[in-house]
Amino acid sequence: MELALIGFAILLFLCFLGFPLGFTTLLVGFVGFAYTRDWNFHAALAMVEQQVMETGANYGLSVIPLFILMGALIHRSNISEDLYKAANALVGALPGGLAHATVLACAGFSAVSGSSLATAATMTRVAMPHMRGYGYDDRLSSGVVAAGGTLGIMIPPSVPLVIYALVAEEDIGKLFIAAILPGLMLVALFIAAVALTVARKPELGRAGDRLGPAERWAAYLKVWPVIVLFVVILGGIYSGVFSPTEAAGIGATGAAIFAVARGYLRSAKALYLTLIETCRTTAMLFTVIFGAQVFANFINLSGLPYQLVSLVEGWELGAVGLVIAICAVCILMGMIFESIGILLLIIPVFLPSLIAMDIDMIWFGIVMVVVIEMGLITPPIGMNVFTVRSVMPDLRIGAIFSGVTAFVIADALALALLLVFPAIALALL
Amino acid sequence: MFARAFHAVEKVLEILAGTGLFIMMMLTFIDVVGRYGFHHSIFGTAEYVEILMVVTIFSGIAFISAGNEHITVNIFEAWVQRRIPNLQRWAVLAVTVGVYVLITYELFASAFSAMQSGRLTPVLALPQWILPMTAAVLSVFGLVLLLGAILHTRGHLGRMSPDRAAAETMTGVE
Repeated sequence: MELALIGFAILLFLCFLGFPLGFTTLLVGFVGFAYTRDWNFHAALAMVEQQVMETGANYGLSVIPLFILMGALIHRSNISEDLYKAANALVGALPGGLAHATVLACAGFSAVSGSSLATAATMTRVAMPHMRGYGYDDRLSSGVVAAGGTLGIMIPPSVPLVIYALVAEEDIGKLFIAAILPGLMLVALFIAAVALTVARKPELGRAGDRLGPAERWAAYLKVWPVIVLFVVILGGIYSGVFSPTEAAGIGATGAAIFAVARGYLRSAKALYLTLIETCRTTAMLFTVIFGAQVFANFINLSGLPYQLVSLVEGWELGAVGLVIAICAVCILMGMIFESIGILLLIIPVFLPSLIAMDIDMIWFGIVMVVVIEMGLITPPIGMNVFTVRSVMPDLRIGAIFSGVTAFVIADALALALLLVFPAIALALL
Repeated sequence: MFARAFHAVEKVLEILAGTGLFIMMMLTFIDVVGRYGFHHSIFGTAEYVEILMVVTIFSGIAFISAGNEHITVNIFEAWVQRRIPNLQRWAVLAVTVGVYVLITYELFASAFSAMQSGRLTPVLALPQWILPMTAAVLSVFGLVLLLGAILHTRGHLGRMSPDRAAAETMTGVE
């Protein structure tokens, strides 16, 4: 166990110094593996090659670049503005209506994008000017876009859920289906958070204008591409018509067609930029996956995961106790580490303990995503908060963190509900 | 002169990666449409996609490494850079180059081993060395770009593509 902990300590130390996460993880895993095998570098090299090729040439993992591409194409199709108008037509006239509309628009964007950062950045551009125009307090408006953006990784398709499926060797399709109800629950909780905030302080966000029926229906009808894509992807996976990989290919092609039909992506340069942007993100992600796979081999060889099984059984934590303990570790890690790293580094360590406790790994995956969502909006890292700030540089970081407080509480409530009622995640399976 | 050569190679790698991704998307789409619309899917789609994955990912790693665009945990990075800027920069570059060399070396070893064994892929019966060799060759291009950029900028890789350093990335993975 000591060896694995030393490995983790060295890895964290190097990462904090600004070393690239993927390559550093791979290096520590490689050296650790060689050391565990009595400095057998030949075996360690062979293991590195095997992990890199098995991951890099994996048909199932093509779902990652394809879903990232779909999100990038949807972003380029500029549908976010229409989503916001439709959501605003539905709930804009309520107190805090524009903030409610932001939550709904984020949910809509999340249904066709697997990234919370893309959701937060896009919706900040779209929603913030409207809310400022109506005199909304910056804390509420920036908080709601930062928190709404986190829906991007819960509502399927979700890149972190794909990563989790890789680590836990679970079915991507089942994870996507399991995420639907928790995603809707989070939307409801975020809307409740907005409602309670403006009920306490109505001056933070007044009601918007009420639109006539014709205007409302015109707004609703413009978002049909999002509904079609979501239904086709999830419906196709749920009914078994196609695999998640095929769904990703269909979704990306569908998004490209919608973008062209809406007047965007009509030049080779626009398509080229979208593809390169996706390749860049994919490559960054895969270096981290390569590293984590190598590191996981070292950790497994060190015996840490199996020693943890004995420890957990000895402590008599029970299944829920173990999950709560892992959540606590992940929340702490989430304050300093980015989410993909947490999924790739922490889950393999606890995997044997979770399996020994007979914990449903689909449910656990959904729990992990909620925990990661909290990490995205809590200090000091709070990636979504910094994303909102990067789009609106005149916002104060402190104001955004203050604004997300109600939504962090909503996330904590969602986590508690999921722990108490696992059926929220498992009912549709 | 060097900057022009650098950007030309980078552009080729970008085009390779982007084309691989685009074909992957179309292939998956046409395969499903063919299967349900015309009762005729594309033979060996999964193996084609595996090759395209290698092209997309290893071309991508080549240009993100040369541009120093790896994911980092930057909570203390700025603090460290203020105190030991040169040591931090060169240590990071040493790890990046070292690990990249390690991967490239082992990919070549694997490719030559597969070449000698004469193994074929199960569906398309293509030589199995194609995958590791493609990855290895693309990694060599990445290494050459990376080393060239390090020497040219004296370790300040961001100077090779200043526009990109300032650009935002909309397709984050989180």
